[in-house]
Amino acid sequence: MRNGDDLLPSYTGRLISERLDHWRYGVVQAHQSWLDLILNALKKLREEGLTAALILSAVHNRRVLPLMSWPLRMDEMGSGASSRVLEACRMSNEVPADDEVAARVRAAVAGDFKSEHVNGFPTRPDQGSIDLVSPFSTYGFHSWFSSTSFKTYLCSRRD
Amino acid sequence: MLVRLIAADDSRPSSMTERQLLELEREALLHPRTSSSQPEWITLAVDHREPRPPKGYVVSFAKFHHHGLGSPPSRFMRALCHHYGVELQHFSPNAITATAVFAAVCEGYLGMMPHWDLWLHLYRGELFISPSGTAGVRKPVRGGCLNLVLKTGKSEKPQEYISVGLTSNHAGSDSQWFYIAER
Repeated sequence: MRNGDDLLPSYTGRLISERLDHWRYGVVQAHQSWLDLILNALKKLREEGLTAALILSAVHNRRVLPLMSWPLRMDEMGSGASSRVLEACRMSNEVPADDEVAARVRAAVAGDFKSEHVNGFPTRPDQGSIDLVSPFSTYGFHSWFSSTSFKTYLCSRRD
Repeated sequence: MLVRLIAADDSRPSSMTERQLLELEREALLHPRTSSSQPEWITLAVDHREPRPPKGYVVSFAKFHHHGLGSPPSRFMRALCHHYGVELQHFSPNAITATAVFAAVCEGYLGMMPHWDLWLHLYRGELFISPSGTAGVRKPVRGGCLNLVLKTGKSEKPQEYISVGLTSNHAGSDSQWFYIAER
Protein backbone atom coordinates (compact mmCIF):
# COMPACT_ATOMS: atom_id res chain seq x y z
CA MET A 1 0.00 0.00 0.00
CA ARG A 2 1.54 3.28 -1.08
CA ASN A 3 0.32 5.44 1.77
CA GLY A 4 3.34 5.46 3.98
CA ASP A 5 3.20 9.22 4.48
CA ASP A 6 -0.10 8.86 6.37
CA LEU A 7 -1.79 11.53 4.29
CA LEU A 8 -4.61 11.67 1.81
CA PRO A 9 -3.48 12.88 -1.60
CA SER A 10 -3.52 16.68 -1.70
CA TYR A 11 -6.31 18.42 -3.55
CA THR A 12 -5.45 19.51 -7.09
CA GLY A 13 -8.93 19.58 -8.63
CA ARG A 14 -7.70 17.26 -11.39
CA LEU A 15 -10.34 16.18 -13.89
CA ILE A 16 -10.39 12.46 -14.74
CA SER A 17 -11.87 11.80 -18.17
CA GLU A 18 -10.96 8.17 -18.77
CA ARG A 19 -10.80 5.01 -16.74
CA LEU A 20 -7.28 3.98 -15.84
CA ASP A 21 -6.19 0.42 -16.63
CA HIS A 22 -5.26 -0.48 -13.07
CA TRP A 23 -8.77 0.33 -11.81
CA ARG A 24 -9.64 -3.20 -12.94
CA TYR A 25 -6.65 -5.02 -11.54
CA GLY A 26 -7.35 -8.16 -9.55
CA VAL A 27 -5.31 -10.34 -7.27
CA VAL A 28 -2.11 -11.83 -8.60
CA GLN A 29 -2.60 -15.53 -9.31
CA ALA A 30 -0.12 -16.60 -6.63
CA HIS A 31 -2.27 -15.06 -3.90
CA GLN A 32 -5.64 -16.29 -5.14
CA SER A 33 -5.54 -19.52 -3.15
CA TRP A 34 -5.05 -17.58 0.10
CA LEU A 35 -8.48 -16.07 -0.36
CA ASP A 36 -10.40 -19.34 -0.31
CA LEU A 37 -10.78 -19.45 3.46
CA ILE A 38 -12.04 -15.87 3.57
CA LEU A 39 -14.44 -16.47 0.69
CA ASN A 40 -15.82 -19.49 2.53
CA ALA A 41 -16.39 -17.31 5.60
CA LEU A 42 -18.13 -14.70 3.43
CA LYS A 43 -20.33 -17.47 2.02
CA LYS A 44 -21.39 -18.38 5.55
CA LEU A 45 -22.19 -14.74 6.36
CA ARG A 46 -24.18 -14.41 3.14
CA GLU A 47 -26.12 -17.60 3.82
CA GLU A 48 -26.94 -16.34 7.32
CA GLY A 49 -28.53 -13.28 5.70
CA LEU A 50 -25.93 -10.54 6.16
CA THR A 51 -26.57 -7.55 3.89
CA ALA A 52 -25.09 -4.08 3.47
CA ALA A 53 -28.15 -2.60 5.17
CA LEU A 54 -27.69 -4.76 8.28
CA ILE A 55 -23.99 -3.92 8.38
CA LEU A 56 -24.64 -0.18 8.18
CA SER A 57 -27.27 -0.42 10.91
CA ALA A 58 -24.80 -2.27 13.14
CA VAL A 59 -22.03 0.31 12.71
CA HIS A 60 -24.38 3.26 13.29
CA ASN A 61 -25.72 1.48 16.34
CA ARG A 62 -22.15 1.09 17.62
CA ARG A 63 -21.36 4.75 16.83
CA VAL A 64 -18.33 3.80 14.75
CA LEU A 65 -17.40 5.22 11.35
CA PRO A 66 -15.79 2.34 9.39
CA LEU A 67 -13.53 4.65 7.36
CA MET A 68 -12.07 6.52 10.30
CA SER A 69 -8.75 5.83 11.95
CA TRP A 70 -9.41 4.26 15.38
CA PRO A 71 -7.18 2.99 18.18
CA LEU A 72 -8.81 -0.46 17.91
CA ARG A 73 -10.23 -2.68 15.20
CA MET A 74 -14.01 -3.01 15.40
CA ASP A 75 -13.93 -6.59 16.73
CA GLU A 76 -11.48 -5.53 19.45
CA MET A 77 -13.90 -2.97 20.89
CA GLY A 78 -15.19 -5.33 23.56
CA SER A 79 -15.12 -5.68 27.30
CA GLY A 80 -11.43 -6.61 27.22
CA ALA A 81 -10.43 -3.11 26.14
CA SER A 82 -10.00 -0.27 28.60
CA SER A 83 -12.98 2.03 28.99
CA ARG A 84 -10.83 5.04 28.07
CA VAL A 85 -9.77 3.47 24.77
CA LEU A 86 -13.31 2.32 24.08
CA GLU A 87 -14.56 5.84 24.62
CA ALA A 88 -11.96 7.09 22.13
CA CYS A 89 -13.29 4.57 19.59
CA ARG A 90 -16.85 5.89 19.59
CA MET A 91 -18.25 9.00 18.00
CA SER A 92 -20.77 9.49 20.80
CA ASN A 93 -21.68 8.25 24.26
CA GLU A 94 -25.34 7.98 23.33
CA VAL A 95 -26.76 5.16 21.23
CA PRO A 96 -28.89 6.69 18.45
CA ALA A 97 -32.58 5.80 18.30
CA ASP A 98 -33.49 2.88 16.03
CA ASP A 99 -35.64 5.18 13.88
CA GLU A 100 -32.68 7.46 13.30
CA VAL A 101 -30.38 4.55 12.43
CA ALA A 102 -32.97 3.11 10.02
CA ALA A 103 -33.30 6.50 8.28
CA ARG A 104 -29.53 6.66 7.82
CA VAL A 105 -29.52 3.15 6.35
CA ARG A 106 -32.37 3.97 3.95
CA ALA A 107 -30.38 6.99 2.71
CA ALA A 108 -27.54 4.69 1.70
CA VAL A 109 -29.11 1.48 0.38
CA ALA A 110 -31.76 0.60 -2.14
CA GLY A 111 -35.12 -0.58 -0.85
CA ASP A 112 -36.78 -0.26 2.51
CA PHE A 113 -35.19 -0.83 5.90
CA LYS A 114 -37.29 -0.92 9.03
CA SER A 115 -36.20 0.16 12.50
CA GLU A 116 -36.98 -3.28 13.97
CA HIS A 117 -34.13 -4.69 11.87
CA VAL A 118 -31.52 -2.34 13.34
CA ASN A 119 -28.53 -4.32 14.64
CA GLY A 120 -30.23 -7.53 13.57
CA PHE A 121 -26.80 -8.93 12.71
CA PRO A 122 -24.44 -7.64 15.42
CA THR A 123 -20.73 -7.20 14.80
CA ARG A 124 -18.08 -9.00 16.82
CA PRO A 125 -17.61 -9.06 19.77
CA ASP A 126 -21.22 -8.09 20.63
CA GLN A 127 -23.63 -10.66 21.98
CA GLY A 128 -25.38 -12.45 19.11
CA SER A 129 -22.53 -11.99 16.62
CA ILE A 130 -21.90 -14.95 14.36
CA ASP A 131 -19.27 -17.54 15.20
CA LEU A 132 -17.05 -18.22 12.21
CA VAL A 133 -14.90 -20.75 13.99
CA SER A 134 -17.16 -23.77 13.88
CA PRO A 135 -17.23 -24.24 10.07
CA PHE A 136 -13.45 -24.60 10.21
CA SER A 137 -13.21 -26.84 13.22
CA THR A 138 -9.92 -28.41 12.27
CA TYR A 139 -8.28 -25.05 11.67
CA GLY A 140 -10.31 -22.20 13.14
CA PHE A 141 -10.87 -19.14 10.99
CA HIS A 142 -9.81 -16.60 13.59
CA SER A 143 -6.87 -18.68 14.76
CA TRP A 144 -5.69 -18.81 11.15
CA PHE A 145 -5.54 -15.02 11.03
CA SER A 146 -3.27 -14.94 14.04
CA SER A 147 -1.14 -17.81 12.76
CA THR A 148 2.46 -17.55 11.65
CA SER A 149 1.57 -18.56 8.10
CA PHE A 150 -0.92 -15.71 7.73
CA LYS A 151 1.53 -13.19 9.17
CA THR A 152 4.16 -14.44 6.74
CA TYR A 153 1.65 -13.94 3.95
CA LEU A 154 0.90 -10.37 5.07
CA CYS A 155 4.61 -9.53 5.30
CA SER A 156 5.11 -10.79 1.78
CA ARG A 157 2.36 -8.42 0.60
CA ARG A 158 3.94 -5.21 1.89
CA ASP A 159 5.10 -3.00 -0.99
CA MET B 1 -22.33 4.12 -30.05
CA LEU B 2 -19.45 6.56 -30.14
CA VAL B 3 -19.50 8.87 -27.16
CA ARG B 4 -18.07 12.36 -27.42
CA LEU B 5 -16.71 14.12 -24.37
CA ILE B 6 -17.22 17.83 -23.80
CA ALA B 7 -15.76 20.16 -21.21
CA ALA B 8 -16.81 19.52 -17.63
CA ASP B 9 -18.95 22.00 -15.75
CA ASP B 10 -17.34 24.11 -13.08
CA SER B 11 -17.79 22.89 -9.52
CA ARG B 12 -21.08 23.75 -7.92
CA PRO B 13 -20.82 26.37 -5.17
CA SER B 14 -20.91 24.85 -1.72
CA SER B 15 -24.15 25.12 0.17
CA MET B 16 -22.69 23.83 3.45
CA THR B 17 -23.00 26.12 6.42
CA GLU B 18 -21.33 25.91 9.81
CA ARG B 19 -24.73 25.09 11.26
CA GLN B 20 -25.07 22.03 9.01
CA LEU B 21 -21.57 20.86 9.90
CA LEU B 22 -22.31 21.24 13.61
CA GLU B 23 -25.45 19.18 13.01
CA LEU B 24 -23.26 16.44 11.49
CA GLU B 25 -21.16 16.65 14.65
CA ARG B 26 -24.27 16.34 16.81
CA GLU B 27 -25.33 13.26 14.86
CA ALA B 28 -21.90 11.76 15.64
CA LEU B 29 -21.03 11.62 11.92
CA LEU B 30 -18.27 14.21 12.03
CA HIS B 31 -15.48 14.36 14.58
CA PRO B 32 -15.72 17.38 16.88
CA ARG B 33 -13.02 19.98 16.37
CA THR B 34 -10.32 19.39 18.98
CA SER B 35 -7.51 21.60 17.72
CA SER B 36 -7.53 25.33 17.15
CA SER B 37 -4.34 25.23 15.06
CA GLN B 38 -5.52 22.45 12.70
CA PRO B 39 -9.16 21.63 13.41
CA GLU B 40 -10.57 18.38 11.97
CA TRP B 41 -12.87 20.34 9.66
CA ILE B 42 -13.31 23.94 8.67
CA THR B 43 -16.23 25.96 7.43
CA LEU B 44 -16.26 27.85 4.18
CA ALA B 45 -16.85 31.50 3.53
CA VAL B 46 -20.43 32.24 2.58
CA ASP B 47 -21.09 31.45 -1.11
CA HIS B 48 -17.77 29.66 -1.52
CA ARG B 49 -17.86 28.96 -5.23
CA GLU B 50 -14.81 26.86 -6.03
CA PRO B 51 -12.80 24.42 -3.89
CA ARG B 52 -9.52 25.94 -2.77
CA PRO B 53 -8.64 24.05 0.41
CA PRO B 54 -5.86 25.54 2.53
CA LYS B 55 -2.66 23.54 3.04
CA GLY B 56 -3.33 20.42 5.07
CA TYR B 57 -6.98 20.10 4.00
CA VAL B 58 -8.88 18.26 1.27
CA VAL B 59 -12.39 18.45 -0.14
CA SER B 60 -15.02 16.16 1.34
CA PHE B 61 -18.78 15.86 0.95
CA ALA B 62 -21.39 15.67 3.72
CA LYS B 63 -22.73 12.49 2.16
CA PHE B 64 -19.37 10.76 2.63
CA HIS B 65 -19.70 11.24 6.38
CA HIS B 66 -23.27 9.97 6.39
CA HIS B 67 -21.92 6.85 4.69
CA GLY B 68 -19.03 6.03 7.00
CA LEU B 69 -16.05 8.33 6.33
CA GLY B 70 -14.39 9.88 9.38
CA SER B 71 -11.58 12.29 10.05
CA PRO B 72 -8.79 11.29 10.25
CA PRO B 73 -9.56 8.78 7.47
CA SER B 74 -8.58 5.15 7.98
CA ARG B 75 -5.44 3.66 6.47
CA PHE B 76 -7.61 1.61 4.10
CA MET B 77 -9.28 4.78 2.78
CA ARG B 78 -5.90 6.38 2.21
CA ALA B 79 -4.62 3.24 0.50
CA LEU B 80 -7.58 3.30 -1.91
CA CYS B 81 -6.81 6.90 -2.89
CA HIS B 82 -3.23 5.96 -3.68
CA HIS B 83 -4.09 2.70 -5.44
CA TYR B 84 -6.64 4.27 -7.79
CA GLY B 85 -4.58 7.47 -8.16
CA VAL B 86 -7.45 9.73 -7.14
CA GLU B 87 -8.23 12.44 -4.61
CA LEU B 88 -10.94 12.14 -1.98
CA GLN B 89 -13.50 14.20 -3.93
CA HIS B 90 -13.20 11.80 -6.88
CA PHE B 91 -15.03 9.00 -5.01
CA SER B 92 -18.75 8.69 -5.66
CA PRO B 93 -21.05 8.55 -2.60
CA ASN B 94 -21.75 4.87 -3.34
CA ALA B 95 -18.02 4.16 -3.61
CA ILE B 96 -17.67 5.46 -0.06
CA THR B 97 -20.58 3.30 1.10
CA ALA B 98 -19.17 0.19 -0.60
CA THR B 99 -15.79 0.85 1.01
CA ALA B 100 -17.32 1.41 4.46
CA VAL B 101 -19.35 -1.80 4.20
CA PHE B 102 -16.27 -3.76 3.13
CA ALA B 103 -14.21 -2.37 6.04
CA ALA B 104 -17.00 -3.25 8.47
CA VAL B 105 -17.30 -6.78 7.05
CA CYS B 106 -13.58 -7.34 7.55
CA GLU B 107 -13.30 -5.80 11.01
CA GLY B 108 -16.70 -6.49 12.51
CA TYR B 109 -17.54 -9.92 11.08
CA LEU B 110 -14.35 -11.56 9.80
CA GLY B 111 -12.19 -10.14 12.61
CA MET B 112 -9.31 -8.79 10.54
CA MET B 113 -8.07 -5.54 9.04
CA PRO B 114 -9.58 -4.66 5.63
CA HIS B 115 -7.98 -7.24 3.39
CA TRP B 116 -6.30 -5.76 0.33
CA ASP B 117 -6.31 -8.86 -1.88
CA LEU B 118 -9.94 -9.55 -1.01
CA TRP B 119 -10.79 -6.01 -2.08
CA LEU B 120 -9.00 -6.42 -5.41
CA HIS B 121 -10.70 -9.78 -5.91
CA LEU B 122 -14.20 -8.37 -5.34
CA TYR B 123 -14.16 -4.80 -6.64
CA ARG B 124 -13.14 -2.81 -9.71
CA GLY B 125 -13.19 0.90 -10.46
CA GLU B 126 -15.44 2.42 -13.11
CA LEU B 127 -15.55 5.98 -14.40
CA PHE B 128 -18.75 7.96 -14.11
CA ILE B 129 -19.23 10.47 -16.90
CA SER B 130 -22.34 12.61 -16.71
CA PRO B 131 -24.91 12.79 -19.53
CA SER B 132 -24.92 16.23 -21.13
CA GLY B 133 -28.52 16.26 -22.30
CA THR B 134 -27.47 15.58 -25.91
CA ALA B 135 -27.43 12.00 -27.19
CA GLY B 136 -23.92 10.61 -27.55
CA VAL B 137 -22.33 13.51 -25.70
CA ARG B 138 -21.10 13.16 -22.13
CA LYS B 139 -18.98 15.26 -19.84
CA PRO B 140 -16.53 14.34 -17.11
CA VAL B 141 -17.37 15.38 -13.57
CA ARG B 142 -15.05 17.05 -11.07
CA GLY B 143 -16.37 15.10 -8.07
CA GLY B 144 -17.76 11.59 -7.78
CA CYS B 145 -16.20 10.19 -10.95
CA LEU B 146 -14.87 6.97 -9.39
CA ASN B 147 -17.46 4.26 -8.85
CA LEU B 148 -16.36 1.10 -7.07
CA VAL B 149 -18.49 -1.79 -8.24
CA LEU B 150 -18.58 -5.51 -7.56
CA LYS B 151 -17.03 -7.72 -10.21
CA THR B 152 -19.94 -9.61 -11.66
CA GLY B 153 -18.94 -10.18 -15.28
CA LYS B 154 -18.83 -13.62 -16.91
CA SER B 155 -15.07 -13.76 -16.62
CA GLU B 156 -15.18 -12.56 -13.04
CA LYS B 157 -16.28 -14.23 -9.81
CA PRO B 158 -19.95 -13.48 -9.16
CA GLN B 159 -21.94 -14.11 -6.00
CA GLU B 160 -19.03 -14.40 -3.63
CA TYR B 161 -19.93 -11.41 -1.52
CA ILE B 162 -22.90 -10.25 0.49
CA SER B 163 -25.84 -8.37 -1.01
CA VAL B 164 -24.88 -4.71 -1.56
CA GLY B 165 -27.76 -2.85 -3.20
CA LEU B 166 -27.05 0.87 -2.90
CA THR B 167 -29.27 3.87 -3.49
CA SER B 168 -29.14 5.79 -6.75
CA ASN B 169 -30.55 8.98 -5.21
CA HIS B 170 -27.79 11.47 -4.47
CA ALA B 171 -29.60 14.62 -5.53
CA GLY B 172 -27.94 17.80 -4.33
CA SER B 173 -25.02 16.04 -2.70
CA ASP B 174 -22.45 17.58 -5.09
CA SER B 175 -22.97 21.02 -3.57
CA GLN B 176 -22.49 19.83 0.01
CA TRP B 177 -18.72 20.05 0.11
CA PHE B 178 -16.38 21.37 2.76
CA TYR B 179 -12.84 20.80 3.98
CA ILE B 180 -11.43 18.13 6.30
CA ALA B 181 -7.88 17.74 7.55
CA GLU B 182 -5.86 15.35 5.39
CA ARG B 183 -4.42 13.49 8.38
